[in-house]
Amino acid sequence: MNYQSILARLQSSEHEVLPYQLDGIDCIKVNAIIADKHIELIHFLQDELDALPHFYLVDAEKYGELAHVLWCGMQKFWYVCVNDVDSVSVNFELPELAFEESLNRTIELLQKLLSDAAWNKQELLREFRVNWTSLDSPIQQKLICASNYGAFEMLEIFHPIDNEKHGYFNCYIGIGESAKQLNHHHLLGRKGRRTKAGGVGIILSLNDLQPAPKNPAALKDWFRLAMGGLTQSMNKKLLSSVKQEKYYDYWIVFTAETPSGKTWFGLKLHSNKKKAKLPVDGKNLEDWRFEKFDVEVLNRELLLPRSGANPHLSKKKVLLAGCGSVGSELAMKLGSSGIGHIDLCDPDVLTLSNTYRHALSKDDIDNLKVFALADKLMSHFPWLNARGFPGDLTLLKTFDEELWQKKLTNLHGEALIKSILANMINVDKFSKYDLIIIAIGSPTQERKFSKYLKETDCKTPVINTWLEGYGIGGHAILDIPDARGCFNCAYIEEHSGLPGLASNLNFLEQDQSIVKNYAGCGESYIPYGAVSSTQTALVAAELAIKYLENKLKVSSKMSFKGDADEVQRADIRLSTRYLTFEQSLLKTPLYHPQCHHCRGTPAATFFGCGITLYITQDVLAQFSDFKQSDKNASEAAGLLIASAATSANAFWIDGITTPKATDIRTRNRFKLDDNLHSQQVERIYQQTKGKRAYLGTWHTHPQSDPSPSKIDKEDWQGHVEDNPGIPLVFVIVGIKHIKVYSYKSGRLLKGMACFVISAL
Amino acid sequence: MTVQAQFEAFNKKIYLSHQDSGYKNAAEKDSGKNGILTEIKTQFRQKGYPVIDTFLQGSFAKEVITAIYNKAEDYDIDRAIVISHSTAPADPIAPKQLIRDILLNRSFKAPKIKKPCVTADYQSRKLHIDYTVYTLDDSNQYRLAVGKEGASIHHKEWSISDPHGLISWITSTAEYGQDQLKQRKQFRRLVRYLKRWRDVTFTNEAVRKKIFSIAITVMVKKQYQANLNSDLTALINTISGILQRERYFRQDHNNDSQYRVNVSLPCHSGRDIFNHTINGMSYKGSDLNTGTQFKNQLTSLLKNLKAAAEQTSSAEACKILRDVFGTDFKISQSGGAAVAAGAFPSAGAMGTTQGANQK
Repeated sequence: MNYQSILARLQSSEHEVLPYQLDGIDCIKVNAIIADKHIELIHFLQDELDALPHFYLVDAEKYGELAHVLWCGMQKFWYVCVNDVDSVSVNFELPELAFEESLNRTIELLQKLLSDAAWNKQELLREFRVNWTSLDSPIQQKLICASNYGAFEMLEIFHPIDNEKHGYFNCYIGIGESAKQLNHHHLLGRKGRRTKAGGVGIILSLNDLQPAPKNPAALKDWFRLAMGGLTQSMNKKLLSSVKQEKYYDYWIVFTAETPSGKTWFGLKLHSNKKKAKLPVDGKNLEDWRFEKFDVEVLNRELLLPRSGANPHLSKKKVLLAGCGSVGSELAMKLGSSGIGHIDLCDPDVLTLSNTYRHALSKDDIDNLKVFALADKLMSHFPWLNARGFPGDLTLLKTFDEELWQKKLTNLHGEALIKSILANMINVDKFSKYDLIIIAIGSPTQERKFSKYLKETDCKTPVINTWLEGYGIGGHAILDIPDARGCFNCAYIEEHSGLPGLASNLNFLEQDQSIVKNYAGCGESYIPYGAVSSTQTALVAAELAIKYLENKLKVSSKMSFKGDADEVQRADIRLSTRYLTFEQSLLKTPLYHPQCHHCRGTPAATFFGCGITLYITQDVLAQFSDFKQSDKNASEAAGLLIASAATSANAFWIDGITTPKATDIRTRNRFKLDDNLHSQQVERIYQQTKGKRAYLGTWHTHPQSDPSPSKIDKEDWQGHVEDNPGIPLVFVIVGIKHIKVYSYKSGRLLKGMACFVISAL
Repeated sequence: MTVQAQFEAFNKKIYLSHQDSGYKNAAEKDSGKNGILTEIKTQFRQKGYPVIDTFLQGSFAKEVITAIYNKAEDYDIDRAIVISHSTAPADPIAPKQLIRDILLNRSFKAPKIKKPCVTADYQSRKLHIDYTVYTLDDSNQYRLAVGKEGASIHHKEWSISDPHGLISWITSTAEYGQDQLKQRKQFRRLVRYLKRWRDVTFTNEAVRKKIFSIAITVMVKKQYQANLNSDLTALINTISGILQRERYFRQDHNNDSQYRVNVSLPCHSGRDIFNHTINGMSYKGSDLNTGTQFKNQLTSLLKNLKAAAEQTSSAEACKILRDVFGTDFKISQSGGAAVAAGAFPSAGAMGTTQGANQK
């Protein structure tokens, strides 16, 4: 590194920057006067930059305890941490700039620390745990502390497991009464451990936290202060718990609030002589040896957010049907979100052909996927409860959990499933789940199940997720009952407007042969990689988690769009949706305007002029949004999109085009950008093969009971002449009323029934 | 009109540290892995007087070194070797001979034991080194190994010395009062400017070599007049002080237009830096040629600086200053260590949202 240019650059600093040697080692010395104190910083020359270069503070003890200034094992030189907030990207190409930045940050930080004692103290408390952890200790000891509360509690202390060199098994563990029932004992190897004779653990919470000492010799004084500052009730609890017993070792786990949240840290008292009572009164401390120890906490409220999970999901129950390549990855992602309970359902065992795209490993081959996956989930996520139910979707419809639990021990395989099937259907069983997820990749089963749920009026939301082969993509739909959009919306055929057999989300055109027949019937497969299935799982997990977090309130869909090269090589046709899709990985409403469930009863119906018009809820809501009830609201206008209803001369107005930025709008006038509006209608016309089409125009008027102007009539006339033979209609949205007009034989027909819009 | 930015750019341009590649090469010879210093330590230890400390003296220690102006000049390394007084040999010449022999084996031409030091030039590189040997006793008293080879017992001794004294006098900030570090920085800049002025002005090597850097440093230190807004003003006032106070320049008794320059070292014995020897006799002050040229050129410098200060346009002022200080003084403000734009990021470091690393 070119220190010549670095030093030259640093000459611009208002402080004194000098090349220097310490015991023959090249360094840079900085003299600065900060808050009337002479500060000396030292940088030891280095060959290259991996991070911001360090300027060590010389003899930091002189300035009292400073936050962000850490002992780093060198005699006089203290590390000054100047990038605690960000991930810092360092300019190693022009190191002189990085040096300048680092020096400026160091000086600025020291300036603040030395001139603002209150801030320094707050920062010291904020970084309490780091300071505590960096205290020198003769032996590095770590205690894994399992506690559900972090309030006062006695801990049973266990030895590390003999001959274990690594990880948690090599640590002491302390288990609180509150954590004894948890399923994570196997995580800690609880069974292989001996209890610590003559030792006990205590969790104590501190109200008034003193900054951590930077010197281990000061631990005694710190302890005396901490004991003196205990609240009366804490003191009482402590005394009543330890007054009888005497021990050699006390493992005290302190908890305290700091500006950066609750912190946990450990102090061990070891009696130099014989077993003794804990010196709560702070007396005779010379009989004790004080050692800090590191604490790692198995506590849900702490660990979940720290490792990226959401503790608020711990009460949520999810049922996942399908534990294949998508389902197994999805289960792991659900587990990592912090969901508290997952039931799994799948009839399959793991086979070798699953090896490269399944969350389970080959160690589980020949096991039922649900059991292996439930085990994996529970060992991975300490507070997750997972159960496996081996069966298919039919099982879900019929299983009785209690019965199932009873028979589980006696029955296996087919016998088990038969036994379950024989039981009566119990609709209520789904209501205890917050969410059902179907990842079975079978449209027939999925449609049947969806129908079943609808018929039984199940109110539990359902996610269906599936992938398409050849890496083209994957999808997930979330159907929230009573919210707009449903499973059926994802199956409306665009070209007919009727329910179809394949989802309209698909990126490959339906009814093509895409499976590869490998060894006869039942041994065919669709080629796709684990990235595809995992990505699909992520899409479904995103919908699931956002729904459970209450951040997603409408039925939604989400797709990931992959590359088409493999599809094209296999000579498979892409769907129109794939070609025009631009919302990869975005959540969009599931609602389809032609879904007969969601379209439901019309929001408004107009009769007259030989035509029946149904207006959907959706369109009426949009009209309402644009009505000019506000004094400053400009006119709005657009085109009407309609599809045929079942009876003759009846239409659904199920879509409109809305104002564009390029339209001209004033209070009393409107001029459409013809191109944009008609392109939008044209696209829908193409996609639906003419099933949804242009049927006229709409615009607003700043009148409560609107009537067409001369200009309106001239404009309509033009539309009618351009579209001979089509029964066009024209809508005027007033502040209170909507009026619809039509033409017959080129003549304006007045007065279809009007509708009071303000009633909405 | 301000030329402060140009002065600062000029300072960066002539600023030199021991990180300069030329010096790094020199330093490698001296204190590199297999350098002279390592061997001195080994041999001294074998002789029973291990090295307990070592430090650089000279311009490095004083932090006023300037970039080599004329490529023909040498890089100087001026190193002190300290041994414990209790283990030191009675004969102060012995460790110096040891050093001399080490240098002989390392391609130095004609290493010489001088009265205060061992000195040598490296044969193929422009490197000049001086090694001095001190002892240090329990009361922190340094003693210098004085004497040449073959000198009589009266001319060699461990002579009481204060190697850090001069350096701490130069680097002390006691007299500066407020903004002491800023003043010390300016003082160092002024020394650099004057050293560069010397190298540019005195083209005759014989004269240039006699206008010692240490003399410039001592004079500037004593006469320094701070002006933290303007190096030019500070320089003008400081040079005026040098010319008017202290009688540094003394007229010759025989000729009014001839001068000798005298500058006493602040510590030690008050020895005159310019003491010169004729026929083995030591005389105070410089020779007349050096003194006269130095005074005349310094007077002319002051005139030019004042002229520059009176210019209304900074470009005009810079032209004058460029004539005085040479082409490293740039007329535009960008110069010196300005950073090449375009190819690299222009910030030193930036907090990002990339990655989960909290460190």
